[in-house]
Amino acid sequence: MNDELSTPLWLLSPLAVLGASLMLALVIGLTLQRFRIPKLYGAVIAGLLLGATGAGFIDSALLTQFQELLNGAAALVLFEVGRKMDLAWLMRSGRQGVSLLLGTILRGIAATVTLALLGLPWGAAIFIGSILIAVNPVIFSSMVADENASGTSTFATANMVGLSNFVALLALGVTLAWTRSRGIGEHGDFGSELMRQGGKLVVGAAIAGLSYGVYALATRLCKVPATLRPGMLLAALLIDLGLCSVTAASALLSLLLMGVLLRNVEKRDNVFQAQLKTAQDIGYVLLFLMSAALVDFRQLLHGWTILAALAVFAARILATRLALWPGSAWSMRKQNAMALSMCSLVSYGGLVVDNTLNAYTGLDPASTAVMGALLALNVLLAPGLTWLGLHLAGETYRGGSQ
Amino acid sequence: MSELMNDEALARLKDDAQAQAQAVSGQGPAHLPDFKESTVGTMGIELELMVLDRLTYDLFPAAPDILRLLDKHDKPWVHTPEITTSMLEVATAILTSFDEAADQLEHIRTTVQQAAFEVGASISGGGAHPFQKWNEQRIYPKERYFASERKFGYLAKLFTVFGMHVHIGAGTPDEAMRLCAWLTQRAPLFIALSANSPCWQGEVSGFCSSRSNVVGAFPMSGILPYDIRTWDDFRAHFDELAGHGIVNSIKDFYWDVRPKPEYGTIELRVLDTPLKPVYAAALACYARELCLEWADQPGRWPTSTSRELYIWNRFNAARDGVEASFIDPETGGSLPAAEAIRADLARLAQRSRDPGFGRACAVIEHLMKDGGQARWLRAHLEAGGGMNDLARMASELFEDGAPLG
Repeated sequence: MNDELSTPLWLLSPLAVLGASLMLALVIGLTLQRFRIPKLYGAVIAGLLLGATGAGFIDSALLTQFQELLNGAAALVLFEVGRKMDLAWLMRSGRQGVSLLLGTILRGIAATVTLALLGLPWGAAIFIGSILIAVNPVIFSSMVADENASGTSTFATANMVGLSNFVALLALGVTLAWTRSRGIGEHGDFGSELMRQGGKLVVGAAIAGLSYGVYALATRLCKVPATLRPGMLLAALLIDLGLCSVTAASALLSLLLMGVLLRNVEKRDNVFQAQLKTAQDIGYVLLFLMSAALVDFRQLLHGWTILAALAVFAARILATRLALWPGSAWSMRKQNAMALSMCSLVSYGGLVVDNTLNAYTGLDPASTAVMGALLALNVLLAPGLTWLGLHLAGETYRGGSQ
Repeated sequence: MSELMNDEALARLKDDAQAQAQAVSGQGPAHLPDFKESTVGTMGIELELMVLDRLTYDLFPAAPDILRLLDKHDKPWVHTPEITTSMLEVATAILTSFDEAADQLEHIRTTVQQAAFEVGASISGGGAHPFQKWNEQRIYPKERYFASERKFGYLAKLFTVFGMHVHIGAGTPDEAMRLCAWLTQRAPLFIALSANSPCWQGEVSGFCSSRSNVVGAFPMSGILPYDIRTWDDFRAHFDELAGHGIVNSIKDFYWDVRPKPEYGTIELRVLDTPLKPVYAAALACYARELCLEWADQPGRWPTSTSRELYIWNRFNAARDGVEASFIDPETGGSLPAAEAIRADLARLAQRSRDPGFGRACAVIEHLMKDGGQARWLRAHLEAGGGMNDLARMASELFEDGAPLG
């Protein structure tokens, strides 16, 4: 009987595969860190070794089994992004807030125009451009945590990550409605599609309000310092995520809003520090491992898509740098650093945080290929450039004497 | 001829300043400048301020960016970096009254607060941050501070504490030494009044001024030796220590009260940075009026030369704040510090020529209400607030601009 099994037993357990992958990512990452190479590259290498590029142990089918777990990891990351959004500062800091908003919008426009100039249909270019507004929260948050970055440009960039995801989500709602209304298959007209996408956002916002209310009530019933109640926060985040899942609401908006509410509405002792840090650290590795696993490196070697992806990457960085020009709070060096730190991008699945990690399937083959190349480059290049940006800003710290 | 003299004098001053700067940075030989003549009773106030993260209210290494923005302002006061990047120092111009001090400190507060907000930070008073970890602090990127770190090791980062220094014009160098001796005797009362650092590294310390204990770790902390009675005595003392390589400039003396020859002042250094700028103005005026009173009694020196008595008074004031007991070194009698302060204020109010001194006295009376600033903070903790919230509360007190809070 045993002789008939050609696959090792542990490979039949998706949980064991996931655990082994995580272990490999951490071992490689922590080893790399000793040589001052970003830890996140451990996840990249593990993902490439075990995913589509390498052994093929991790694929979409396996990830589907862990959708809830991955969504949970995403929840922690997105909540953290929302928690870093300082609305009062964004609205009252004048040039600073305006330049960050401008950077967000210009980044999308620059990506769209570049893609169109490269020959993609305008519809696809706008659709991809709306996704490319967003900065990848996993890459940025993970790098900030690993490099112990703290300072004014890190603060501003963290605000921009939240802002960019929020704006990208709104833009995607419109472009998705437009694309679906004209795409292959069954979908309705633009108006009804827009209502459907808008409805997801409204329900997501309502769920955030409800979950935050539950959390606020729980903390007031049990008057203990914030350091003693991380479990309550985790519970509220899970409620939020679960409700978004069953109602098909926008989990990204909902979790972002949870963070924003905690940061900006809650007044008394709302400041959570390291309580969720360990979980977040694992979340970063897990999510990035999966992203890397889905990259088929061989695709990059074909055709013009790699050049197109590089052009879009460069256009986004330049557009962000241009938009930061009016900001008086940051020196030229910090502005350059911030533009680099905000180079990463997200996938369609990363913005939607729903039951699919796969790319949107309604695009033409050329656009799909470019998006694939962009995501591959994002996995390979963005952690390094973000790391470089944080170091260029001079806001990283390793302790000890200077 | 007189133009030539002026040029010579200017050149000498420039050389002196250069030698002093090199001595302070450790790049040149030991140097003690000549004591500059000044007007008795003029004052200046230095405040070391906390730079805070607007989310966690932990210390935030944004001082270099804030200082860069402040460079663009045309203003009568100055701003400088401090040893770690979450600290910044501001210093007023020469002041002559309570109202002038309060106005200028308020201008400083609004300007610094605005610059801090622009870069995404908050500002706070207070003598010590309640939960910062010393090992997470970053040395300000300047050779002088790196040299301090090499010299003092972890003490350099541990020195991320926030004090208020009051400069008072002393007139002549010898008079500066006499006023130093007198003000040293009264220094514990200023520790008591300004004490507002009840927490240290995330714990309630049991002291109203935890900051006061940090300074004691430095080898040159303490007080002016009682046997130093003239500027020449002090210069001889400096030369002896410099000969051993112990000091290189006046900044190496971490005394509670020290002369500051390049300004022509004596410097009271024991105060926690107050939670509100107006408290700083009032406390500075109290110190100034004491000096004016002693200046009017030429040749008179303190009778007590007991170092232990001073240390005991200092310890009590740091532990209990305005509720401390105080042994008056002149009479030997023990009394509550608050009583000693009230007696001083009543006596000084009789002779003060500062029209705002009455208002300064009212502010100091406010500082003695409900156990003083440290007790106000402790009460917030006892009501259920955490350490982060304590830092938030202190920051909001500093930033709200209301006169007393």
